[in-house]
Amino acid sequence: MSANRETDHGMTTDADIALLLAQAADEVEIGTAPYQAVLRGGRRRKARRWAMAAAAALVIAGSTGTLALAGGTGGDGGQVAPAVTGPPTAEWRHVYEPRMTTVAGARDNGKDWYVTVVVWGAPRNEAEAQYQRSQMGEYGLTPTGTEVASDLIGKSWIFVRLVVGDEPPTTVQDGPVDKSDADGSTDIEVASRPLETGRPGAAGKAGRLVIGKVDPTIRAVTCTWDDGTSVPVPMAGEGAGFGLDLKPAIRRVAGSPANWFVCLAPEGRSYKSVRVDSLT
Amino acid sequence: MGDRKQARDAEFQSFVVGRWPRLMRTAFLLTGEQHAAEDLVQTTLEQVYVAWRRVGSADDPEAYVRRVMINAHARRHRRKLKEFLAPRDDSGLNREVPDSSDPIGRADDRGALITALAGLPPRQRQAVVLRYWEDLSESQAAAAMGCSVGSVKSNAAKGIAKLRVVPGLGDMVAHGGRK
Repeated sequence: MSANRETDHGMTTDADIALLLAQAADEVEIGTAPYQAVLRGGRRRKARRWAMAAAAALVIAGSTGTLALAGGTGGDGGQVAPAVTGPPTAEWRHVYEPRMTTVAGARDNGKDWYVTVVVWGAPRNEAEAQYQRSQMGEYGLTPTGTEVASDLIGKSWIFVRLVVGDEPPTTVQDGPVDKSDADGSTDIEVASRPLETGRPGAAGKAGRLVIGKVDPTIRAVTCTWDDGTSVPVPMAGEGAGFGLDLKPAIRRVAGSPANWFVCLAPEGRSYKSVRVDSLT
Repeated sequence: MGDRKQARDAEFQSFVVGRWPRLMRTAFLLTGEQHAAEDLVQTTLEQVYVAWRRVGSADDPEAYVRRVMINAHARRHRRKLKEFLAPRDDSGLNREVPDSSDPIGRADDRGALITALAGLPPRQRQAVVLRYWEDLSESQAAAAMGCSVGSVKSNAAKGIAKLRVVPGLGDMVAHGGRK
């Protein structure tokens, strides 16, 4: 029995119940821990957070070279990046006003589109979390998988927003900032989705728009389309390109440990794979 | 990254293998059913995997795992009330009254406790399991359930009171689990 138990009197008189519970618990068949199944499920969960609204999602494990393509995942554990050593006030930590970085934008079929990464700082307590949640609501943002405001405590949260033409922005991915995004890994998390800019139905279900995040040590990737053509995505220079018609590039995103890139397949083609081309 | 990742994976594997039996027993008491227990533990560990970098280095990873499991159990209860409350009895046949002198009969006695436990509202069940099986303090149970110490006290007391009036359970209690 625990040494610092607050009220032992009930435990003493209910020791018989504890005994029965112990006996009942022994009835379960323990079996072998299904480690591999847990691992697969954990990896799927990790990838799913980043692919909520995407047509397809994958994580590619490995360094340079050919990459696996599947609904499967890779990547390691680690989820939350508590900003406990950041600047002191919630405002400085961007708890109530997010940082926003446009990582791609162009005109396609006569419609402008752009992708913006929105990063909210980590609230430190219930009050901050509640106000942050209400502020997110003002932006039309709902953090996926959270039920109450306190679920946000200690977590910076990223939303990837897509705007097409005059349509209201849509969240295409969201999830807590993952510190392991900057641990030197050559894993790439990528999601592809259709981009509806053309004639109704013309885009079909093809995943033309590719959104990915990479470790900051990765300096270039290449997106390959289903017809074998590809587009190089180098690291953007400092201050390179804001506004529309951004060329595909890996870009730093304020508040995100990972860098981000976006590339768009020509109409009629779709995403096939992405590979790391160079590291620092 | 390779070495760090491998080390973390090895650490997580060791955690899973080492904690699996205990977690299975707790999950069995919470769900009242073998497969639901396996499912609950697996779901819990999958979520722990996602946060393992943080959990593995925490002072008390057990507390985090308990919290995840209780949350997962609560979510399932909200989703599929009957499925997870009641132990399966899909034979459609009446249960026979066991001879209490044989091992199978005694197993059924313990089944009666599981049945009684499964009949409790989920918060009462969680409080009873955490306090009397996991042997947690009220504060620790409150942390796992995400509620106040007072709520734990109240739920545990109500749960125990209900278990004590279950027909047959009193006899089991008096004879240390055997009629």
